[in-house]
Amino acid sequence: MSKQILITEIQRFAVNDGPGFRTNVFLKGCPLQCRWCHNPETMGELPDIYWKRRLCVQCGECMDVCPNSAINPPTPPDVTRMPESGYQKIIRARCDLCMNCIKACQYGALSIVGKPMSTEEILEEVEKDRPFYNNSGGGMTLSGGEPTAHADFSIELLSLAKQKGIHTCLDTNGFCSWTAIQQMIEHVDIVLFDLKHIDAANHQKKTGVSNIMILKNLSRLSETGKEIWVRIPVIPGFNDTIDFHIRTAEFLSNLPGTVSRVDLLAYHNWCQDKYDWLGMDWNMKEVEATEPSFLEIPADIYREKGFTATVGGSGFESPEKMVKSQ
Amino acid sequence: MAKAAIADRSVKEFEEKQEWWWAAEKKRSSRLDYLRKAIWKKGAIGGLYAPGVKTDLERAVLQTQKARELEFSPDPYVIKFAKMLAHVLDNKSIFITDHAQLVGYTGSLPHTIAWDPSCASILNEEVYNDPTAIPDPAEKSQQIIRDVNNYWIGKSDLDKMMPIFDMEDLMKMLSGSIGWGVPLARGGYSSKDYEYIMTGKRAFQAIIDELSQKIDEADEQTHAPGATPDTTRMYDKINNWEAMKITLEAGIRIAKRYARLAGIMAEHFEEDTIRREELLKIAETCERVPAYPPRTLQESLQYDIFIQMMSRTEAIEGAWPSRPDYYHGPYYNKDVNIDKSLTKEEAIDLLGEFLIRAAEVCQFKPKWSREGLQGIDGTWVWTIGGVDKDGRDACNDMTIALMQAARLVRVANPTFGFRWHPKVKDEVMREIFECLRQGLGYPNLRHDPILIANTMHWYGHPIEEARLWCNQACLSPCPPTKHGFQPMRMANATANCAKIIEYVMTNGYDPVVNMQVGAETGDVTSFKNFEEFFEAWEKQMKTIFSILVRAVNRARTLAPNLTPRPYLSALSERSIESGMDTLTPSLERGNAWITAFTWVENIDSLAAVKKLVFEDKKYTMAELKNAIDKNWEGYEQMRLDFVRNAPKWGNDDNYVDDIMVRCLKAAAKFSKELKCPSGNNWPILPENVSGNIHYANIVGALPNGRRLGDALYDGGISPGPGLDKKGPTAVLKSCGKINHITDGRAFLLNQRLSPSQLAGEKGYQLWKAYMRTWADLELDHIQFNVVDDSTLRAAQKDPEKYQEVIVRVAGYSAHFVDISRKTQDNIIQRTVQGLG
Repeated sequence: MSKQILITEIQRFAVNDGPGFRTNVFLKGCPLQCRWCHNPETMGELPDIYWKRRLCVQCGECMDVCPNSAINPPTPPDVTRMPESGYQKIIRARCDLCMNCIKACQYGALSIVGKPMSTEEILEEVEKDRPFYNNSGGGMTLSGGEPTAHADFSIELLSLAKQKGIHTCLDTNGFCSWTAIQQMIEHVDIVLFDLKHIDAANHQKKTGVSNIMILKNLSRLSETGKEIWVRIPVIPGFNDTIDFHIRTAEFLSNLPGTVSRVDLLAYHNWCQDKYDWLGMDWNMKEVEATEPSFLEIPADIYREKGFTATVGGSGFESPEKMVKSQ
Repeated sequence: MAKAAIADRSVKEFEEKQEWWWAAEKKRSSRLDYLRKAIWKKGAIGGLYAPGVKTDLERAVLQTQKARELEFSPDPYVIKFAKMLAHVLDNKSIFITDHAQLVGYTGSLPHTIAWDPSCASILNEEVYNDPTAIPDPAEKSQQIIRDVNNYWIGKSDLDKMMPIFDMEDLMKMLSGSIGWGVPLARGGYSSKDYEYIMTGKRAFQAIIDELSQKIDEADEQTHAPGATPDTTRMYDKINNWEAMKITLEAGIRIAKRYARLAGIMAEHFEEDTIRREELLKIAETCERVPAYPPRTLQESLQYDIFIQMMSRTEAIEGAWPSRPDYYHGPYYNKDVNIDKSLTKEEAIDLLGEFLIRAAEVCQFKPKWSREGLQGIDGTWVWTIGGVDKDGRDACNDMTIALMQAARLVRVANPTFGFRWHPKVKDEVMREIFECLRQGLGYPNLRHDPILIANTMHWYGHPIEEARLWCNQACLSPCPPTKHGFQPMRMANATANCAKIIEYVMTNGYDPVVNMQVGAETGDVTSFKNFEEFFEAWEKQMKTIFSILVRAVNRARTLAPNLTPRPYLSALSERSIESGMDTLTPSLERGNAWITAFTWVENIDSLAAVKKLVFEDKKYTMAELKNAIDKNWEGYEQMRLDFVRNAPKWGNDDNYVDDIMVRCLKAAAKFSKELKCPSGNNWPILPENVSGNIHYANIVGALPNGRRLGDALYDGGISPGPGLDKKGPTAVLKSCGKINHITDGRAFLLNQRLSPSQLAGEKGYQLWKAYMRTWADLELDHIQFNVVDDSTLRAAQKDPEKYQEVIVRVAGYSAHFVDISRKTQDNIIQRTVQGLG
């Protein structure tokens, strides 16, 4: 068995992450800490434990098996089912991830996030939807977390996929060494490049890191002639101003090479349950989801600059729809 | 919604909000709108007919009257029966709906449901005991019903057949545990010889002439010198031919009564000149058909309605086999494209009316049938698309026009089954997609090359005939040809398959009906390994299938004498030619199948037992048996283990998918050992209609974690609701492991997609790519339910506002608000695949 890596999910029938029907492979661990992150379970490098309050009957079996006293005693479930109660089953600071509690839980309330998998195991799963790739131009999208944070593994996985004739997309935030990207793109058909902000200060503030390396990598990547889809999560109060989009469109058109399309991704708060399951506070849960059609206006800004642009990043969007002004 | 609010809003506005029913109402012509609203909703809701819908006593009285009159007549039964039919047709009340251009209804008034008293006393008792449907004044009606019922006791079809059935089998069937229906030739699903009567070559008068000639020749032959067994048989033939003639002549007469009524209305009562023209056109049409072949689309559709109406006078029909675009398409083409006597809009209007006329048809059905077919009278899945006998694309302009008409009238029954093949044009695929996107729930898609091969494989139909197939009921292709069509598929060859696994656990004893129904396969705790367990499963499967098939075979053998179908015979080339009733098994190749309700429970149960008991040894069989005997009460943790921690069908997991294939292959092998009276096979066809709800309180606890009372899975080979966790591609992959030609007759698959996925051009491209893979994987069927949860939840809370929401429930489509809360919950529970 070759080296293994933590995978949070292998999602089949993904239709918004590159062309056609795709299988998304989500790696665990990301160097960025974006405040709005829709997949908080992929942030950390280590396995996590979900506790789903709705499923917990407060039987107490998990407490009995915990060697670290990291489990709160049972409390009537009609109270604990309410997120407002503030009740959490796991005292995370004391938990050493022995996972005894998960084995003890009969109700599916406790579960492990992050399954170690080898490239062979991942590809076996990815292979399963090959008939769908053939009919839609789909394939595998390596996502995260951040694939470049696990460069060696990612390179191996992508190259093996290409050997099998599977179309590959790399979904990256670009925060890595240029060498990592350079080695990876040899085995990648399309790079889905996440762009959060073009201002260094704003970027630093909301993602925890500077964007200097990211923008530089994007620029160098465009020089290589590799197909690039820039993906911009449009976050209320962060990068949702017209000014931001005008400047970003300008920035993208000044790149040395071309960007094939720009996908604007609407913010939503459907992930708030995931934060709760991880015992994390999420201060954006009250921020309402953006109605995707509102993003057609900024999308036109990119279209006017000559980019093809979508709202939602569908892998089935028709070419006319992406260029025409709505 | 207030009327004004509807008027103020534009079609576009409704469409944007995906309120398709209001958009349709605004788009259709005022004539069509009137006709759509002028029909009564006949489908039963939770087993009960809607308020205001009443049992039609007229036909029962007329038939009883004639039966009494003929009781001591020397006529053979087939002639007596034909005379009763003729008497009903000659004397029943007829009406013409305002604005209608097509006429004909099974009952005497629009709000009535036809009641055939000659089928079964147990049905007649239900009529008497169904107070909501008894017409006012109740006391007088009850007296009439009593009188009718008293006459038919011991004389109805089923009453005559019951004493000569295998009594043990019969009691097991009538317990309601393993089957669904009774073995009767005049209550089920009749296919027809459409190639004989619908191709414009002949109509009733030509057949009558041929019959007269046959009778004359036979008469001569019987009186010529000589006496052989052939001469003796000739007397029976003469009787059959006479009876056929009586029914066809009655058919022409009732059409002429409609012609007369229309003429009188036009000449004496109608002031509007346009309407007068329409009435005169009706008169002309009904003078022409069914006596002579149609010349126009209107005549062709009217001809079809007469044929169907009469068929539903002769028998209780649970289905409506039809291939409208294929048989009416040439008339559509002639009127719209060549003669230009109809505009495209007028033609679509007429097709909409045709759908409405079919939608209103209803016959009184027993409660178990109504529960199994929530919201509709029968499964009228009309077949469209496909190929002709030479394998060329048979789609035509009418294929498209029908789908457009369906979107305007939005009826839940009939629905369409579309025969997909690689040559179908993009414009046709777009029409299908539009129907799905607009939440109609139909057409379902059928894989034509696979089903043609399947039809040839199981029954040996020649390829030219197999290519002409149309659904005999929901999903079963049957060639409408001389020796290909099956005159009757009896509903009781419908197995409640969840009982197979239940009986493995109980040694064949049924704890719900308290009777030994299954085989004695031994104490389940004595099985040492999964192979022994599976052996018991196979034996229970064979036992249940055999009980049902024996009864149908017996009924089919007795049918030509005890329950002849002179009218259906009159439409069958083979009967005209042979002089034998069309039910005579030797005249057909056979197209029998066993409908397998509640099939997938077996697969998930077997997988759970294999994994948790025999492999992981997490529980002993004694523990499992004990928990199941107690209906899992007090064993909730253990139950959840069986639900969550055992592999489930539909996730592209070979562990359980292999069990599915193994079970199907075992059934397929056995279905070749079973034989129908024509000597052909009995393949199984997994689907549920809404039997999953009907059987909720009949099937006990099962090893998949199901408790008594829980709704069963929604059917066919669809995964259990919420258990298909890997998404729609994994579901197709699992289903693709089944060989859809040789592992069974057809396999129903429900898929729900969210409206947001199907929006716009990208939605179409997504769906098309998905369908291409569906075709590559060689699945024979798929149907889509494109309604989101919030709409359905809202419809539950406020049914008045969502009267028109149509959902697909296994094999048919119904208005959501019409079905029971339990079915509704079950639909909502189904995974909305890839929401967002």
